[in-house]
This record gives sequence, C-alpha cells and structure tokens, in this order.
Amino acid sequence: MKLIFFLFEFLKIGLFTYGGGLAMIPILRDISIENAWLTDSHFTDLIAISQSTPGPIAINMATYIGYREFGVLGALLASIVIIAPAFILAILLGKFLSKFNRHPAVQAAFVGLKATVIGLVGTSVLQVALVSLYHGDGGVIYRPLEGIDLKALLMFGVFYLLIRKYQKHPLFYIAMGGVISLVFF
Amino acid sequence: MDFLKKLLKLYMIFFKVGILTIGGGYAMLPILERELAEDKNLLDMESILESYSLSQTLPGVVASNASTMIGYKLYGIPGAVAAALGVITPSIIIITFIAIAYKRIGHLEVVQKIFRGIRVVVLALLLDSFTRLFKMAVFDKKTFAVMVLAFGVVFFDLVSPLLVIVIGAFFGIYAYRERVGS
Repeated sequence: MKLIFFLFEFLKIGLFTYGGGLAMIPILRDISIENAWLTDSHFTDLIAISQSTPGPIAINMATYIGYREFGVLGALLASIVIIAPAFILAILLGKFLSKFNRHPAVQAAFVGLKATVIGLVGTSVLQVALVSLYHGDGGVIYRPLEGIDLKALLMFGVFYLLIRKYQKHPLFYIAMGGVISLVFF
Repeated sequence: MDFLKKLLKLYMIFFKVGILTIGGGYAMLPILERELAEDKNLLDMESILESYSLSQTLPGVVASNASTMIGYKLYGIPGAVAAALGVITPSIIIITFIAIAYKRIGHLEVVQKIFRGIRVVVLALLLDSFTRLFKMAVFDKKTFAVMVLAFGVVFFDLVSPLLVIVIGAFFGIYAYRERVGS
C-alpha cells in the first residue's frame, strides 16, 4: 500500500511536470521533504549526484529516492512510473503532436507554463542557497544574515562567474568544488 | 526473431545514449545524431531533431520522451518500449550503486566536507540555469507576475507545485490565446 502511494506520487510528477529535469527539481523536493524521504541538504547532494552521473537528471533522482524508500524494486519502479504518462501520451499523440503543438491554445498554455516553471526553479535556487551558504542546519529566510558562511559565499561568487564565463559541463565544476572544499573548508 | 534482434539492438543503442547523456536533455542530441544517423543510418538528422523538439512539449522527462518517439518511429510500440527502457537502464544501475555507497559513507566527515563545497557549486549552476531560462520565458509584465506568484506560493508552501503548474497553463490560455493565435 505504501509502495502504491509512493509510485502514485511519481506518476503525478511524470504527468504534470513540464520542462524536463530542471522543472522536476522543485517538485521532487516538495514531495521528498513533505514525506520525509530526504532532508534539505541530502536533497541538494542528490541534485549534485544527478547532474554529474550518466543519465537524465529526473531518472537519476527518481531511482535514488526509490532505492532509499523501497530498495532495488523501488528504484526500478519509480523510474518506470515517472516516464510512463509521457510514454503513453507520446504514442497516442505521436502523429498529431506537431499539429497539436501549433494550436493557439496549446501555444498560449506553454507561455503560462514556462513562466510558472521559472518561478518554481526560483524556489529551488533559494532553498539550495539556504542549505549551502549557511553554517550548521542552514539559514532562515526571515533572518538572511544570521549564520552565513562567508567562505561559502565567496566560493559561490567565484563559481557563478566561472560558470557564466566558460559554460563548461556541470560535472567539471562539481568535481572542482569537491576538491576545493576538501582542501580549504 | 529478426525483429527481436532489431529491438535488442535498439535497446543497446539507447542504453549507450543513456550512459553518454550526463546531466540531462540537451547533452543527448549530438549523441543521438552519432548513434542513429551517422553510425547506423537508422534515421536522418531531420527526424531526430523533429522528435527531439516535439518531445520537449510533452510532460515528464525529455530524454525518455525523445527516445520513446524515435523508437516508435522506427519499430512501433515495441520499439518505443525498447528505446525508453534502454535510455533509463544505465541510470537505474549506476544510481542504485551510488545510493548504496552514500548510505554507507555519506555520514563520514570527509564525504560531508566534499559535499559542502559541491552544494555551493550546485547553487551556482542552478542560478545560472535560472537566469538563462528567465530570459527565454519572461518577456512582459504578465509572465513576470506569473513567475513571482508561482515562486511565492510554492516557496511559502501555500499551494502544491503540481497544482501551480496546472493553474499556470490555464492562465496562459486565458491571457495569451488571442496574441499567439493572431
């Protein structure tokens, strides 16, 4: 029964998330925290793991959470269930999809969807900031200066500029961050 | 038998695509091109690009959607199943091992130390993605308002993110139908 509830959450995500892996991050975070599957900092580690290992980010995250909760079976089923709704839609709509996409109502829906997803990605940015830039258990949004980690803040600034300037693969920056942190933190 | 062999080959091709796609959807396009168009001559680049761009308009995971559509185009429903399963198999195997490892050594001080720095990098990467997406999707007062509202209600846990997405789509239809249609 618990497994069915668990899989139903992934089915919903697979059906309602639009915009790929990045859009899945805030939604997976929301359900993971709500169900106490992962803590905030553990979830941030999962983002890093998913971005630096082979395979689509969303599948990596689904597999990880599935394994944590229900072992190998959970890993397998969470990944299959998260792709199932779009799989069915792709086959049903296949031939009509390009026509369907050109429909004005669909185009208009996409405008609203994209703006919404940006807002959701924004919540991930802020939540990860509260986890990564603060000492101990993380920061509180109402008291932004309390417990801030200046070393982390400086490192963030430098990395953000490097990423903007060079646009190398995320894996490169993640590996560099791990090494720097091991040496200097 | 011949058909089964073809399906197995397709599964293996997408298995390879799954391994080589590190970090998500966009990384997969050049790999698809090499594996399907150049090496195997299964599909031309134009069909690959078309499937890829259409798959972005479906919900869910772009990489598996694109694989599903290409597999379906080649060998029907069995092809779609083979391709979709192929592209997610490497993730399932690799991440399961990582999850096992994290469970065992994740609490060690040295691992926590490494992840402290990595979390900062994740923040920088996310902010970079956010600013790039922002430029693409927010272009007037209404889209800006939608973004801010979606951010606020989700950050303060007022509405579930999935519901917010559905509302956002309906708002788009309500607010932009005339403009996009004309």
